[in-house]
Amino acid sequence: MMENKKIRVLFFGRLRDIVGTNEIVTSDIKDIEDLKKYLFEKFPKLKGEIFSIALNYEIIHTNENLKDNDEVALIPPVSGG
Amino acid sequence: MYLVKEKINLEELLKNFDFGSGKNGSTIIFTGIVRSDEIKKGVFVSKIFYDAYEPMAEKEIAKIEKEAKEKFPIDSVLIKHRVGFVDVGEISFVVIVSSPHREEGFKAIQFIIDEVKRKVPIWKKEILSNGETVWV
Repeated sequence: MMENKKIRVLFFGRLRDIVGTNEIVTSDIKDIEDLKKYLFEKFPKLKGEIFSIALNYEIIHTNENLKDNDEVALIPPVSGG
Repeated sequence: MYLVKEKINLEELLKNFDFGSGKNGSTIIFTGIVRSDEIKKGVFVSKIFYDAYEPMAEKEIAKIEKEAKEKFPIDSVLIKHRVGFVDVGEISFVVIVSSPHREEGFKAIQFIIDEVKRKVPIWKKEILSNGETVWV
């Protein structure tokens, strides 16, 4: 069922300016490592940036497989308050 | 909802806050306010744009509130954070904590403020008096 797997990728803070968009939708990405590779190719300027990754609203620290309708967010260092 | 798009009215929040009708001897209020820092000579912050990953930020603040209530003997907690444009002098962040005794209230409010600033996906962009913008 890999063929129609849709992944939503969101960008926040300074990363929005760097990639020039708030979100993209992509498909056929196996896991987080795959997605990172894809994003670094599509947006080379992302390479020097520091960010965490949230998968469906939770920060993850290891590689995870992606499934249809997953939401991934690139989270630069936060600065609320 | 912890995130608010409208201007924060402290009086309104206090009117609806549960002071505990006798059981709490302490209520502590923290307000974070947008400061007109001088970024470079003659250039000041005129407002801040707060960007948030809203569904995740709501979840993270809920977790912090729950953790504070487990960690400290406190009663009511209210947390609000602005999103969007906030002018200098306006409130961007409010935390109110009531507790039987002040000491745990102070500890809890410090914990909540630090955790929100450290963990919640909110970002500020300073809008400067010369029109430039800077992500912080």
